[in-house]
Amino acid sequence: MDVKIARPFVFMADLTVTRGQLQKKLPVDSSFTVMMEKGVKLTGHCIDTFDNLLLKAGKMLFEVNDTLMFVDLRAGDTAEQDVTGEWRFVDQLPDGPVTEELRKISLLRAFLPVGKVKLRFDSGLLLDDEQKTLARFRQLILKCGEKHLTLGVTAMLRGYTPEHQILVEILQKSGAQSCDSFEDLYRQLGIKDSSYTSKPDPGLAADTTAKNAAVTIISALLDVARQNEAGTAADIDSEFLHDYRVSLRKVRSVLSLFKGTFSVEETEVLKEQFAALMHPTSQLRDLDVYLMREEEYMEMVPESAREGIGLLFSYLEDERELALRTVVTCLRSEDYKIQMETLTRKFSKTKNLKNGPTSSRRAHEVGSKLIYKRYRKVCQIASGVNSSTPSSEVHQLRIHCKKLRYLMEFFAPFFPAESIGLLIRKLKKMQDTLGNFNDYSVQQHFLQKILKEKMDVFADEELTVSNSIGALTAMLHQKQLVERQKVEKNFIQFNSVETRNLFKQLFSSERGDAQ
Amino acid sequence: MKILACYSNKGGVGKTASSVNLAYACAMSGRKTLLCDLDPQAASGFYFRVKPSKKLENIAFFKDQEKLLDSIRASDFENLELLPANLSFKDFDIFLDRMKKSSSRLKKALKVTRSEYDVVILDCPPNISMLSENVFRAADRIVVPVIPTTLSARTLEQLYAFFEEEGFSKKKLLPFFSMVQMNKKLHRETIQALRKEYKMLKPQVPFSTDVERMGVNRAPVATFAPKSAASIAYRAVWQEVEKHL
Repeated sequence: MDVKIARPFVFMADLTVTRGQLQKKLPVDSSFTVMMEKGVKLTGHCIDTFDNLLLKAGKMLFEVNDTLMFVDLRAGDTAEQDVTGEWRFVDQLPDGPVTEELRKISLLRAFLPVGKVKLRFDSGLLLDDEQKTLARFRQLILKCGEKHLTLGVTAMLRGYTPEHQILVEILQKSGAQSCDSFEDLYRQLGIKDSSYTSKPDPGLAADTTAKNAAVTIISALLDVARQNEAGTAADIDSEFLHDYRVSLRKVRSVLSLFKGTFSVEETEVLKEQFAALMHPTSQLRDLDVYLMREEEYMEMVPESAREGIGLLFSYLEDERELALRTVVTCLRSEDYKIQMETLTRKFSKTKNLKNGPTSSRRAHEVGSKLIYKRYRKVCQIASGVNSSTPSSEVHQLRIHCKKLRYLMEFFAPFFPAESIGLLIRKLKKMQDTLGNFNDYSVQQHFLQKILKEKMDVFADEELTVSNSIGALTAMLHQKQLVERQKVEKNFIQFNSVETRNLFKQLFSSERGDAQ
Repeated sequence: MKILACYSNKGGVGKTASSVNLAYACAMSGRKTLLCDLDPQAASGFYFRVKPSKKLENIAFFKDQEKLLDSIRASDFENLELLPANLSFKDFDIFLDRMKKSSSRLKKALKVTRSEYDVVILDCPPNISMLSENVFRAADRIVVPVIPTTLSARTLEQLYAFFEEEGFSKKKLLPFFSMVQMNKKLHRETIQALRKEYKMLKPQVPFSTDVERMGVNRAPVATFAPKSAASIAYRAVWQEVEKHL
């Protein structure tokens, strides 16, 4: 049955929708006609990030000869821009309409060729007996080897809603199907198998045990880490290492937060193993984070201190080269491969891990208890935070918030998505301030470390660099104080009656009004 | 939102052609534009291939905001929409006469379009009536096409006199020469005389077969003869008008 649609119809079809087909599907007594303009056949590369950010946003990018063509699959809009030479990151492109769109997608991820495709843009109109346009549509025809796909969208014109509906109906009768998500498109075209995501849904059953949940989550996280190894070693972009480390950090969090799920001895061994796995990559990630901040730092300090910051960053770049070599050597070593394969195998089956006291309890029950306990801890510390609270306590609060967030994310599948999503968003807001507070603190320590231990590498320019580090540290300290002031206010916002009630309602064994 | 009326108390001076071409130029300048056809002959709609509105009959134009909005139709051009007229618009004066505050009814009716458009252009019928008083009150500016002939000059004089008598701001009036044939001595002389007496807009639209062909092509002149003198002139008129809005 055809569904009435009072909005643009976003569609997909296995075959090309032709004018002839559409015209034939019009009602017999209709005085309308369909007009179509076929575009030029082009051959080029489809481009996306490793994690398909473009496609996830309903966009596609093609590089055809020296032109970049950007398509918004939901709106039907296109943008074009000339491109010369090699590029991988948005900041390597000159300003232009495509660059502007790509900036909204990612500044950090590399844009890589996904596959070679043939493409053509067609446009169509539904006209009345006076040749007035009543509705429009655009379609993109993609061909890759034998695979063939048409993607299109209609445009509604004011005052012509019933006529638009006629266009939708004849498109549907010609094989166009409504399309909400494009995520499977590369696979359908046979150009990319991976539908990588850094946050996979482990697919946990509602009544699963704590142990089964932990094993399933860790297994999915290990899979994410493994998928990022090649990109990290090839140094394609900084996000490979970031995702790699985040997934391993989450594994460690599961091990420490799901207390009693595995035996104490095994938990300790695993915690050490994962800590050791992460260790060789820490320095590279730290340096990546600093290098991303070059522009920000330059803007923070007065003109006179910029030369020193420049020297500092060129030192950091050299250090990064060395740190990258360490990471590549590690990731390509036999030891590493064996270790990862062993861990992957271990977490492929629940029975491979020794039981702890809470193994067989329901994940929902364990999760509720852990979350509510951690939430109360957060409230206890946060409620005492004021302008005179020592920084160490603010750091403690940050750590508890982070653990609470991880717990809520791990156990999210066992609670109503809307409620837990709302609480996570509220928590995230508070964490942002705490995160900034911590970042400024870590950055100051890092600079002090360079000042204490590494100044000899700057030889004659030591004074220039140390003065700049001084200026930068002062600015970072100022910024840290600003964030510090926000913590108390943010907690008051987080600690609303509604939030308290929702936490209690979702996670506490004594349900009811938290007031 | 600004309201620009295209008005003349004389017929056949190129009002609808001006409304259509100025509306197109306005839309092309990036402004969300509504061309509101107040003339029961519905010629503006004809030029854009938009059929007369069936729902917006009789008093609905002034009384039913929802129906007015529902009657708006997209043109085939970006940023340009139309409120087509129908034959019942000929009785606007009768409806207005029956209503309270009858001279500010049009302004009130158009309020509903305020949030959607940057400019509303009114294509007005050629008479001095209750409707035209409504137009003079509602419009921020009124472009008046004037053929440089004795009769046209006389009607322009009458219009200024009417504005004076009724206390409307004469600053609203932006007359410009339309259907100009510079090879005619009379046109040249009338232009010279009127420019001395009134603040006419500088650009003048020549008499052109391209404008006549609008009826065949059913589209603004700039779409099928973009380089024609008429097309260039209308764009220049719009650019002048724009400064006054």
